[in-house]
Amino acid sequence: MKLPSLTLIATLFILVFLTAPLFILIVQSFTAEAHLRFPPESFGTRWYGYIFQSEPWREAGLRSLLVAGIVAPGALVIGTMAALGLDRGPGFGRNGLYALLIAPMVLPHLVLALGMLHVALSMGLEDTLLAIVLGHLTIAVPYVVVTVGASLQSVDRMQEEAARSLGANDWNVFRHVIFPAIRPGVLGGAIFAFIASFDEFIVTFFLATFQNTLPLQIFSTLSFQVEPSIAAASTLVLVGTALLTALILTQGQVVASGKIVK
Amino acid sequence: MRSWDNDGFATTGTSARAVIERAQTSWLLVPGVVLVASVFLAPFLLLFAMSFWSQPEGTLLVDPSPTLGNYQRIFSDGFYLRGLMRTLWLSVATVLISLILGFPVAYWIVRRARRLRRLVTALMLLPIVCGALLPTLGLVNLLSPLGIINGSLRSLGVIDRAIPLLGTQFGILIGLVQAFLPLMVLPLVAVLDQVPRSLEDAAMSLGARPAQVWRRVVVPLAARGALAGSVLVFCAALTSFVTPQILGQGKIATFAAMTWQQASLVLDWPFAASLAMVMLMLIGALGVSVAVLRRSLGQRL
Repeated sequence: MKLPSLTLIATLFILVFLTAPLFILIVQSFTAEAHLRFPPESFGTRWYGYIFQSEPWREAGLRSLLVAGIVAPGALVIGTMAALGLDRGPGFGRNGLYALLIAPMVLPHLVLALGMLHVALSMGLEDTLLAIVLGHLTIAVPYVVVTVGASLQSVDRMQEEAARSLGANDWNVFRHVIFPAIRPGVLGGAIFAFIASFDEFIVTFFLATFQNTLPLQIFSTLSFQVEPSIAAASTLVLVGTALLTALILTQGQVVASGKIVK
Repeated sequence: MRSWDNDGFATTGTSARAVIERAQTSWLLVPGVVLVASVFLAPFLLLFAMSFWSQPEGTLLVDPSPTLGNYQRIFSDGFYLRGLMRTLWLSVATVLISLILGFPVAYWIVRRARRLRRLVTALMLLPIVCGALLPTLGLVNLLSPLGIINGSLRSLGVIDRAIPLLGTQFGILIGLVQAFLPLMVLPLVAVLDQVPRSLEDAAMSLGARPAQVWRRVVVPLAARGALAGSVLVFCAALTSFVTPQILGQGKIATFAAMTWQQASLVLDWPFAASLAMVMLMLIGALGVSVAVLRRSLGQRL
């Protein structure tokens, strides 16, 4: 059988091709030298210390966390409400509204960013935290609409009816019946929203001039000099993203096993 | 995506009370719709309208009388036309390379990965989830004149002068494939998952060689996934900004970079808007042709 060996070799080659650049970044971030070189001759955590002390890096990191920290819960509330409204609201215009709500996820971010910058400029909001948060929020909401919308499909309507007939009001039905059933979707959506904001480049790049987020700080440092601080910051972003992604994947596992237990 | 039409809620009845209850829950949509309409839809419509406006040279004043001048300029000025063709060819090449590389990987994940499947899928997802910036940064180290590829080739004595990879279209192509290949693999995996293994076994037992099984069974059955993946990769490559900017080192102007330049540096907003619209039209044209292709595929399968 030639087939398996060939596909295995191809897969290994491609996995190396996809992950090697990330791996190299991680190794380089632990260099003790002043320049990026691979492999580094001496190792240390010097550049991690540097990015935590350097004013621009620390500011960018805190700003990224602040923006994503506002955007994730915001998108969670807005997106869950919208998913519920689509699901429970009148059928009239539902498809159109759904298309509108997920359009920012589907359309190229470059085009979104261009439009956002124009409006921000005309309202005097360019380079403000508010504009960045609103831009990220618009990009993050569709993820929540999709994940929560999908998990709403599995809500048991009979339980809802039962709760209602026992006198529960809308809020209590949501709190005690719907929410527990859609919690995995809500959590997944929130994590996606956080990642979407934290790793967003192009929208922030258009909207911000001095309000650098971490990806912007990496990009602008790169245009001046290739410094190991870039590798250290990238590694932090990468590890954070990987952990959150793993959380979604394992959360999916928990959900699946929970269903079996039931 | 599941359709919102037949989600089973019609079963709760269409009595007047139910209709009123449904209308009452519509308020839940208000924050989301207001946000998306004001931050995305309104600016987008404004961009569309603006692409038909003009801005006399040397001024920042916009003349809103409708004209096709911007579009004529894109398709007649050699600079923009070349940029468009360059971006198109890079995107098409990215799609073709992703197809060739994506098939064996998707096949391996579906048929052979077993317990490794989750791990391999997660590794595939990582470059997509963390955005194009980080993988591209890693590539800079690989491709630079003092980087790993040139360094090892030199120490092996294959070359004595560094091959320029950064700042070339070839370097950008490597970066685009690296950043967007997972967008090809994931739909292929989804489609191949639906293909019963017995079809391949049947072909084998009827005497088909592996290459024939691939050409006559696996590839045709995965065509839908390949189509979906191609659209995703093409759109991502066509509009990507970071990867060509970093790996091209500003020497190679792609359409996305030109759009940004017009808006942020030249401040010719009507022209920037028309560049963005041309990009969207290309994507729209692709979407229509794929829908047609899909229909003809559907008749054949």
